[in-house]
Amino acid sequence: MAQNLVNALSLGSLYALIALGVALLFSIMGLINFAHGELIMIGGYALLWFSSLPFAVTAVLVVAVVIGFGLAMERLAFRSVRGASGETLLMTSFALSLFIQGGVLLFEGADPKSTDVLGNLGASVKVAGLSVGKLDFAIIGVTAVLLAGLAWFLRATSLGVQMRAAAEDFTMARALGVRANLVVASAFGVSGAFAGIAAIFLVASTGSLTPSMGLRPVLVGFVAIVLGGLGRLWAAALGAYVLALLTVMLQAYLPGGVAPYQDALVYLGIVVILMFRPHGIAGRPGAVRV
Amino acid sequence: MTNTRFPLLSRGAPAVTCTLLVLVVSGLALLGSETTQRTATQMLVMGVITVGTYIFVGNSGVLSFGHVVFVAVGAYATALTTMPHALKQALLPALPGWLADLELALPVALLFSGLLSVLVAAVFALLTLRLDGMAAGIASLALLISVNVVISNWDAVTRGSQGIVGIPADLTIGATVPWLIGAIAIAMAYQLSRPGFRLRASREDPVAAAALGVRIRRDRSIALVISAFVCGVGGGLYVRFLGALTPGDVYLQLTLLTLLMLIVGGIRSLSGAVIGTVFISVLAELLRRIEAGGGVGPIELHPHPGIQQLILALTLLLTLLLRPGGITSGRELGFSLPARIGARRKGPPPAPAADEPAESPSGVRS
Repeated sequence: MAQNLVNALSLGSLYALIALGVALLFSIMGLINFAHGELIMIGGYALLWFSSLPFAVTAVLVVAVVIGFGLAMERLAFRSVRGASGETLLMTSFALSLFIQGGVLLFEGADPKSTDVLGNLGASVKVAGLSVGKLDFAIIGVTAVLLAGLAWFLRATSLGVQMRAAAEDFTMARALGVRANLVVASAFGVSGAFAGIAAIFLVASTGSLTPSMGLRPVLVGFVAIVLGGLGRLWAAALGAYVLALLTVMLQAYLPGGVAPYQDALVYLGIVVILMFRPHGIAGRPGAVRV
Repeated sequence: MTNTRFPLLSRGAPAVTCTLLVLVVSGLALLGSETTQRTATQMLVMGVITVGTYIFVGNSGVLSFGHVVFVAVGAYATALTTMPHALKQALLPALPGWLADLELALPVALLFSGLLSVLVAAVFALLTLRLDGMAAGIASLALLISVNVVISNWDAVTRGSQGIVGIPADLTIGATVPWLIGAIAIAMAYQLSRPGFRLRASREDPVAAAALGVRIRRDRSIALVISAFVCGVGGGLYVRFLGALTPGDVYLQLTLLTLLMLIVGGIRSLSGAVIGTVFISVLAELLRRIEAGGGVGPIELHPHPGIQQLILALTLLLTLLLRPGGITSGRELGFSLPARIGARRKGPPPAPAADEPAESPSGVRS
């Protein structure tokens, strides 16, 4: 039981990193960013490209590359459709995600590649009778630091406050002098940084890379947002942990015959939650509702 | 607005134009090689699926990633009811007896597939119709994933991820065209019916439509059911085109292709759905040949996997950025009859105007 909780905490931290990246953009510009998965995928491949360098340098470069991609996405695609309907934004991000996938397919091929980034982090240590991977420690610790950092950034810095204002009411915020381009671009930057770090942890725990690897994480991000409430950052992080707990528990306790259908149950659960709470468990009705 | 002597022909004009387009393209393909003919058959099948999706998405304005579920249901239903008996016993020994013995003619199997999809659509309607916008998108995507997980693991009926093989792959252009024309006719008839007008009114302005007494959820359910029927039939055709079926064949790739065709063509009109299908099919085939390498006309090319996806995605992206309404931008391809009174000026209205009650849909078939 305790072992499962540790696993859930580690998985939940990874999910929270992904979910926050998606939720940040959603709360500011109403964008459900399908291409977030591709940012993670790019991060994975960047890890491969720079793997000959010392790990710390690699990590910084990976995050920088992903942030760069995020900013480029904003400038080249999303800026033109800003303010369009949610469906248009969603389809734009869909197209972008396919485009990036196609590009990686062209240059890297469809075959899975494997990499062993974190070598000795694969080992595990005994803590109070539980075996906890060093990687789990790293994920949980780094995520905690990042969450605290994001909270500080959003509350204590001018840019953070502007971002929160934009998330509250974009038009009003602009009227009061918030510069839209700056706020949206920095949201993409932060989102990219989270994606880059998530990519490092994801690849470290799975060890393999494919051009289509972004799909699963981004779906996890969506689900976490829906669970937590569309448009609220902390609820999204909470949703990520709940989803991880649900996943780990289902994996551990589902009877053998039903086990293969675990994902079906999770996603069906999402639909049912949406049916009763169209804006998520902690969502605010009225924001998008007609 | 409409011709007084032939009101139905005049208002059903987009369906006639679309049918002509389909016939011309199919006719041209019949002159081509076997590969060209196969590509054209695929285009026609995609046409049925796209038009089916359009009936709901286009008229309601609610994005759905879930319509491939209906395609999947139709595909498996047709596969299981038209496979040779002996093969079925060898591949799927755990199939219930009645289903193992069932062997239907293709048209019957297709209609059965459509009806089965309608049943699934009823469940869909219960689960998702309260939602609009992004929540609807996510919910339909979640349903697509759930159904795919079930298909991938239900070994007794679907043979799981191994898939079903040995389905007769005998679909020809001639056999597919009537189904696409039927789909276009159904879509047009629905578009001209009262529920169709009401649903488009709710697409334009849900609040005003509701205030005028439109019961949006009921009208969406009607569209969803019709749409599911056409998609189910399309799924049946699709599997008879492929000849083998794995869960991956009816998943995200197909969803994307359908949405690509709809959005590039113009999601808000039937003509858009048909034009998008033709346009993207031709483009995809060209790109496929480039991707495979070899000679395309005078140009020699190296194989480039990924080019097709790259260019198709770019097409979608540029459409969304530069021409968000797609090629048709909500217009229908109509034509003017010579005897019409009060000729329209340049620029037809974006959709058939709701200025008079529609006739009974039965007369619209072209």
